[in-house]
Amino acid sequence: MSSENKKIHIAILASFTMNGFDDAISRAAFAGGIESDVYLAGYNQVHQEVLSAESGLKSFHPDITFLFTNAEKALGDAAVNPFGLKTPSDRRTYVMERAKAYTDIARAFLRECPGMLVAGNIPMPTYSPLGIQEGKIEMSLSDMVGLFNQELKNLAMREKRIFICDMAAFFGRHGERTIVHDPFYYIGDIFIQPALMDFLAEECMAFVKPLAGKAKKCIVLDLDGTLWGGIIGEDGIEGIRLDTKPPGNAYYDFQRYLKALNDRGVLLAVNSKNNPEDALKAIREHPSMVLKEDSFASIQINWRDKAENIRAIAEDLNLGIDSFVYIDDDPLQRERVRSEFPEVLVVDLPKDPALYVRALQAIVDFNTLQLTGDDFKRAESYVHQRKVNALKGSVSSMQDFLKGLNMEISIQLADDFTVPRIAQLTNKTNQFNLTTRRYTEQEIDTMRKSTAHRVLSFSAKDSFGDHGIIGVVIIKTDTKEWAIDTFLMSCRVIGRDIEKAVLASLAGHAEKQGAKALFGEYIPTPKNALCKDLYVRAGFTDMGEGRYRLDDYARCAPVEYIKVIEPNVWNVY
Amino acid sequence: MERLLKVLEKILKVQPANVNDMTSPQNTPSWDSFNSILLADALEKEFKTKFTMDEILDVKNVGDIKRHLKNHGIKF
Repeated sequence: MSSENKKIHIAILASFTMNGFDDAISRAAFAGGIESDVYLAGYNQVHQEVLSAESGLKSFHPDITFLFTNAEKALGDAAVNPFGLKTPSDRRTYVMERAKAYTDIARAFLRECPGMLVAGNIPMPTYSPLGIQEGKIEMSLSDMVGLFNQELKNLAMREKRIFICDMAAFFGRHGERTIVHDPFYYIGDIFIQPALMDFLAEECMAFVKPLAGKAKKCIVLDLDGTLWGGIIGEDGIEGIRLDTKPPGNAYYDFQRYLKALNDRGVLLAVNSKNNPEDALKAIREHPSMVLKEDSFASIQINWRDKAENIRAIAEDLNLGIDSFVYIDDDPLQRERVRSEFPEVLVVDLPKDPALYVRALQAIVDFNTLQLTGDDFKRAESYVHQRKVNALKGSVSSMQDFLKGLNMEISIQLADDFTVPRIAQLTNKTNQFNLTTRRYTEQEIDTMRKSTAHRVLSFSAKDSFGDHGIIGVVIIKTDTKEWAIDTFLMSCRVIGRDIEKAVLASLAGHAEKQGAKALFGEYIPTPKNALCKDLYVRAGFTDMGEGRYRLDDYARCAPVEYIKVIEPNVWNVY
Repeated sequence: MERLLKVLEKILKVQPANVNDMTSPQNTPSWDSFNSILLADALEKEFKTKFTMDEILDVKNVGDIKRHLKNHGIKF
């Protein structure tokens, strides 16, 4: 369990010299709003640090450890002279042995050390002694490196705590001749020259940011000059630049990359100064719009201040403004948003639209540590929410509106299938989270198997769609009075009394099981003010110091317009 | 000399007033083997040049740095 703002412990192990990388990591973390302590292990001390009981790494208690190697260290002489091994099968056997030696270290790490391990793979060779025959023979040098990297990836796919730092891609982006300074390499076994360390450190933040709860969830986009060239209000739908041919193809491609992020769960929103009818017409009718109206979870097209619009989008989506990325071609608007919301990641979009995609690719902030099926559904679900909000405007009372939703929630005991999603929710839910206790998958798994706890998840459906798992409850039930350790819910479904329905179900069962009372707890954080009154609203008595007690169970009544299904939750032990 | 002193001050954290041709790893605790590399890196960037491995390994004091810069035709 970790609290909201503790220092993240970042360790670095490498089989070559990485002096200075510790400072680069601290700088990159600081720039991302993360406080860190960094531990750089001694040169080529990987085995000792992982295996010895009293190593610096062990006493450092890392939250995340980066491990780097290269072809020379991982494959030895074969990295230079692979054809000293005569047959393809000799070479394959050799690589499998070396890959096992490397993955054995990773496995030992799992046994010996806490936290995540981010293991670097090997950059692809840019030279082979075989020359043009490299492409003609079996188990050539690039095949050997590929096999080594695949073995590492196979381990990462099996082990939840192991991730891959794609050094092969890093070398592809920057180039071997830029990264390796040959005199420095021979003098000091410096594989990444000092000037490139800040770039690598920035890429490492892709792993550190989600661990520190700093992931971004939504991209707020300007329209004119950003999603298309020109000004829709002046140039008209035929005049704006957006096409599969130049000059509109850079904008078209930018939209394709945004669509790909949207499909993996990053939300998109529009923030544009325009006449809404002009801009919406372009979004709906322009033949080269990759992003459709349904791609956007919130649309603000008007003549208001753009910072005000960002606030409206945050309210619309029930998301913290600190989870936003802002993309606008107008430096003035960027400055306006930056000064109003320093917590927003404002992208310094290059002047040339041909460079927009690169600017987008450089953002490492959208990562999650687990990618669940629900991530792929998320964007869709927010679009449902936008339609639900539209319905809100069309019915007379809130009660009628909620009734019209035909809500159904299903409460279930955690199982193998739901544990990853439950852990993910405990780590990334900030606003509707009564206690903000963060748990790893392992911790959730231990609790759900103990008779002292019940770990429950709940999912919701309504007339507009299936939201999947949207909340978690963990109750301590081994005492006469039950205590709610964790109660959290996704912001997508706030404002529908789902929380009350869940509490009523808990209260009903506490009564049936003979618990004398049900205790709730509220631990304030900078982000969770919205659930401050939850327990009082649900009929609990305020005991002071963030403790709430319910013994008259009738005071916590079910919600009439929410159907609750709870298959076998309460009679398992 | 000013540009060279600036680099030495930045990498080795030494007072420019205390630096002379005989300033060396022996009398400067912060001048370790890794800082020798950082120094070469910073000098390459400041003077837009590249040193060979032998030049870097040959440097035993500030006088040697000046000699190599001169060989590169650099005014420092």
